[in-house]
Amino acid sequence: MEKEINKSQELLDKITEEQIKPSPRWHFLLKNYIFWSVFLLFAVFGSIAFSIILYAVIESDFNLLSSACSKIESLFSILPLLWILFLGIFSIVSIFGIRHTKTGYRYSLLKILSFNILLSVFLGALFFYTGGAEKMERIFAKNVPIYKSFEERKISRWSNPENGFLSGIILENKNAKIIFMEDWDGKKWEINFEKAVIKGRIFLEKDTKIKMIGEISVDNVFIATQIGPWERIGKRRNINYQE
Amino acid sequence: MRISKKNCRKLSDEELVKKSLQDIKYFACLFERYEKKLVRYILRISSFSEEEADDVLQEAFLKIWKNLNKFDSSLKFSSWAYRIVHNTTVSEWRKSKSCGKDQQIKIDDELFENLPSKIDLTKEFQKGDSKREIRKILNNLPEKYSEILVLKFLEEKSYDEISDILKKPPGTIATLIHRAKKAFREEAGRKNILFEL
Repeated sequence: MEKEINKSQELLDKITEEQIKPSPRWHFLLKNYIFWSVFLLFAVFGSIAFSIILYAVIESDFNLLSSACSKIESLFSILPLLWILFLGIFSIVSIFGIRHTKTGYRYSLLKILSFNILLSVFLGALFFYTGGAEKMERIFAKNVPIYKSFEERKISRWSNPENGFLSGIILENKNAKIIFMEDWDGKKWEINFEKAVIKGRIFLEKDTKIKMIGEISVDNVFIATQIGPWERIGKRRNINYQE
Repeated sequence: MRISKKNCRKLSDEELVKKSLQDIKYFACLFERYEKKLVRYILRISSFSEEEADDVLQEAFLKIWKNLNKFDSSLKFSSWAYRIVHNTTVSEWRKSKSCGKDQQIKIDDELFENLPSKIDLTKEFQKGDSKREIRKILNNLPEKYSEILVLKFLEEKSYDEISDILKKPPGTIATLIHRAKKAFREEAGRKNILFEL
């Protein structure tokens, strides 16, 4: 008993002599808030990355491309690997944040990961449907010089007539077999679509943007085997509303 | 002027934490309340001598004092104190190992004489012939297994308490205990000893 009291007195003496003071409460609260903020901030960043991935996949021409190339090749050509990498990094930082909060250790990695994925999917889908993903991607493309936007990549993918991919704006619908079209470089084409399969809802009329798969028969004449709209239906409607 | 034992006893851990922040004398009550348990725990997870264990405990209580405002009453004070003592012991033990002490954690002979008996493992510990063998087995287990077996079967902590002490999810604790028991049985099997665990 005596020994116990001596030891506790020794402890109190040491604290008093060395003037050791408990760290202020705000110090711990701030640290905790910082980790929660890191978690939330990077969860939101992850959602934005997810919404841009969603935008890239929905905007892609997987159906058309996969009929010309193998499915795996088509998948790799449309996957926005940079944004997938961003999503991974943001998720890791977000998980790091929550694991370092006061009670973060109580949640298993699986639980945190599932919660993070659900949050990214929910907020990402919301961001995508409000048009935020497209705007964000454009801002990113405008401000990061080496970054090629999805639109630019799409144009370059569909401006390759030698390999069977062509796109542009209809100048004139001559008859049920022939249309005249101008590609993105201003070159004029005569398109024979007599045997083409029409993919998606599209009216082949003046000023409509289209893309197609086929082959060059002679100079400036392209035999289309498949034709589709340049943009997805929802987006075309949006543009019409804005106009 | 010290706070009397009687007055200390009237107060819960959480109340003592609050009062310690206003008057340091109450901190002695917390120290005295946990001193024996925590020294025993330090000895169980390291091979420090009793004097060294006292120093480690004092070091840990200085940390507790510095971080007293961090204490969250949603946790049990004992779990929080065990956590700090555990981390201080492991850190001091690693430092001493790097200074040339024994490479394995040893469990004190005398300690086994005083072990509480509740479960089969503990009963086995109390059988004179088994003590040395169990000690050898625990010494041969990886640190993550021996420390969890000590917390579960010797300190008799619940899964949630162990989760708070080791800062791991309760599910992971359950898995670790399961693996530690398996590792214990296998190690015992290698030594031709049969234990109920």
